[in-house]
Amino acid sequence: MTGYILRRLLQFIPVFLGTTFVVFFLAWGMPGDPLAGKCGDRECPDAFVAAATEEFKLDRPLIVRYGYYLADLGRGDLGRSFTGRDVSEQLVAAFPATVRLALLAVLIEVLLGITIGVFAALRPGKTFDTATMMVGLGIIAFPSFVIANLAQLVFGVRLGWFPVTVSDPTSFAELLLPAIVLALAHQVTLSRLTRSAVIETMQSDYIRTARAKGLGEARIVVVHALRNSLIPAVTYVGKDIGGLLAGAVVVEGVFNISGVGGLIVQSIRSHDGITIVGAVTVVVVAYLFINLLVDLSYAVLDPRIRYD
Amino acid sequence: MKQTRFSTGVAALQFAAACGTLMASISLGHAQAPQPGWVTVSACTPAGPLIPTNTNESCGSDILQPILAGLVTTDAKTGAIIEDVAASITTADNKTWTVKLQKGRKFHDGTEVLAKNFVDAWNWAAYGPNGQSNNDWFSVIVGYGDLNPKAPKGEKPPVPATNRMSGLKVIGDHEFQVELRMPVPVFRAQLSYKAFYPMPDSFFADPAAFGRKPIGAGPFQFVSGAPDSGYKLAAFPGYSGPAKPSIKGVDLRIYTSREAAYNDLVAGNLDLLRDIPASKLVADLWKRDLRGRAVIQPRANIQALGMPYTDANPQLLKPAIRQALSMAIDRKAIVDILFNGIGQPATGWVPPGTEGYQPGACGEYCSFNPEKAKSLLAQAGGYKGEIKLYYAGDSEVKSAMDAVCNSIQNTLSIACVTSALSDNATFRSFTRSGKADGPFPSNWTMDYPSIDNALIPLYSKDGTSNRGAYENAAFDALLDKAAKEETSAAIKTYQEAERMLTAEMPRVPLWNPAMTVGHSPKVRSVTLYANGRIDYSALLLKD
Repeated sequence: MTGYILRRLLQFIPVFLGTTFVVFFLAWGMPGDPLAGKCGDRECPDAFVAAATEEFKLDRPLIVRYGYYLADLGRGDLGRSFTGRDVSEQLVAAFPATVRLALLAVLIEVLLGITIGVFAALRPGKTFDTATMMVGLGIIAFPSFVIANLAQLVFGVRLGWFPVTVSDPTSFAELLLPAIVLALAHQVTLSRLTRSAVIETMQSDYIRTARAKGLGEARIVVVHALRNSLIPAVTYVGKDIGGLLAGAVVVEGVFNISGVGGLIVQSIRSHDGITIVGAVTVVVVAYLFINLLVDLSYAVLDPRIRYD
Repeated sequence: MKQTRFSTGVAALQFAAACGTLMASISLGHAQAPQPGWVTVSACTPAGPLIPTNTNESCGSDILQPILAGLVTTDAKTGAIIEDVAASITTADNKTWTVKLQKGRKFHDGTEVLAKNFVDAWNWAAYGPNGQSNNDWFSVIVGYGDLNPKAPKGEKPPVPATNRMSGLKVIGDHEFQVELRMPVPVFRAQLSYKAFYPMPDSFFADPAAFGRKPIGAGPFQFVSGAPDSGYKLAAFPGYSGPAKPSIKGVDLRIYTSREAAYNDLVAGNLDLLRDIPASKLVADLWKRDLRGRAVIQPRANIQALGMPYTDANPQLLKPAIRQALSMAIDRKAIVDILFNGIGQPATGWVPPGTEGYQPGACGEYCSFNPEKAKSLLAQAGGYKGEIKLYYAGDSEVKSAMDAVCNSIQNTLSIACVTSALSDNATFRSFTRSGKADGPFPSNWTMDYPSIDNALIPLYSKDGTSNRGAYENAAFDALLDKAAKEETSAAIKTYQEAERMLTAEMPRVPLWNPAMTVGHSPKVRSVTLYANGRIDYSALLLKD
């Protein structure tokens, strides 16, 4: 197990280097002078251009600047953005909100998705199964900005049950509505995945054996069937957390959460290459870790899977 | 089996309890008790440190404006330039200006605003290696060149031999003298721009710290804040200037989208929102949503069509074709339909509300006249091919540019297409590169409300923002003439120069947008500066 984890961690290094390399060249290779439009409606004076060119080494070849970037990175310095703020400071400001939103959304998604999936699987094709499928199809059919705006208008502005926008991203209560909006669409897929896995498991021999032993239906479903049906669900949830960590740009925008998605979009718009590389790199590393955790959880869920 | 049932029940109870706790904390989180006397206002993330000489974009300027005070300010009601920190600003020849300061005006750190705070601040901002984006504002002062030595071709600029401009002299604690390289009749008006504001002594020790927590001499002092979380500004008790506020403080909340801010305004969580989203202006939706708590005010801004000044499109170099294009645009219909009548068609190159504004400077060439447009086009020998109108894809101008294109196409039967460039940086690089073969939207916000600011940077030979590289010797001669005159005569000369632009139409004026403001029932009256910013000192609340 330890050897496996070490091997996986070593694999992060080339992925990490490759990501920074590709993102660095994409971010700085965008057409247009990154300093254009930095001075409002006016053109920037020569002194400003000269100082910024010097600070960000804009006159050097990209490959040289990438070398400098890696050297800084080695010292733990993510660089300084055009906004005059350290990239690390920007990330520290943006990530907590996104992480909280992602975790809350995934929690709601799992509660809803697994519950609906299991109950739908127990009586496939019956009213509950069909009804949840129809509602689910309806939810998926709406783009997330429609659901987000609608939820904000109805529950925030009209009914006043939830805050309209998030003014304090440390409050889970304020993040609840955006998290529900995010979870709604994702739980549909999760519940369908769980449903089909549970249906399949329920037909296997060991379930029949469990029944023959006289175990109660609840214990059979929750302990015996569900645990063995969770592998596809866990894979999907892992993918979801990774995706949500990269920022739910639309939902964050509607509810005014200053998270990672907004930061990346904003830095792309202002050609702030250093921030783009820093933010995307951190997202990629987080994704790699979550994937590793997902793979390790397989062994917990199914003892037949071993890593050595 | 019984045991399992039981534990499931316990789990369900626990879950219900957890939900209950969540619901309870929702109501807690919802009750953001507003502090009495404070207003919450929407703001956006500043693009850089809050240093006035390095801030040109509107987000940072919005936050700095209530904190800072300069020698002069504009009266939000009349638009006139009035003394703020200055007691008097005098000159005999428009070249040597003597500034006397009021006694007892204080920075928020308690130190008095003295002549050296101005002189040091200007020297620091003009010093080339400091790389300030407002560096070129000081180019009229004697000695600016010494602080900004020209770089040999392809090399880095050399380090300046001095860091003080010889044209600035401190005469006493409350008096200093400015010597200009050439006469500038409107120098007093220029001083209202934030590049000329004083800096406290602590700034020079640590500019980065100042950029996070600016200290000014304005009516509001910085309490706390960060670019992502918003800013709290409290009324400064030691303020003794002309703009003493009646409110206790301003809570600037950062919004990433104006739609989100608008929803907060409607729900009563926000007191003031400037620039209502376009989708809410349709059919006056915002006025119904806000029950009439809506203010529309003209602003010192002009949107125009920039024209390429290179051989990239020789046809567009012909003045008659530009005039024909201008007369083919139905500005009134676009403003009425697209902007719901908010704003007004431009009749010249200078926005209204500006000292020296003259209605109709552009004459018939900026009025919609299809017949004349067609005959002008015929005289010029027609137009072959299509007109490509470039704009930045991440801006909000698409529908307006489509409308302009349609107007041209319908009137003149010239194929006109709009072409989006990916973003603002790409757009700006492209339009100033000389490769643009078609017109492009060109926006100008006045830095200070005087006619010269709408003409000199854009159309003079060495204009700092003359993107089309427009050159007109007669026009430049008039600017030189105005420089030597006293202010009121100079403004007449500038007006003559403005009218001269009709001959070549370096840019085609389109419209002057207006600023829209929505407010909560708590607010009694809102006054805006000509630049569209809120005058928090004049803001009145219901008690």
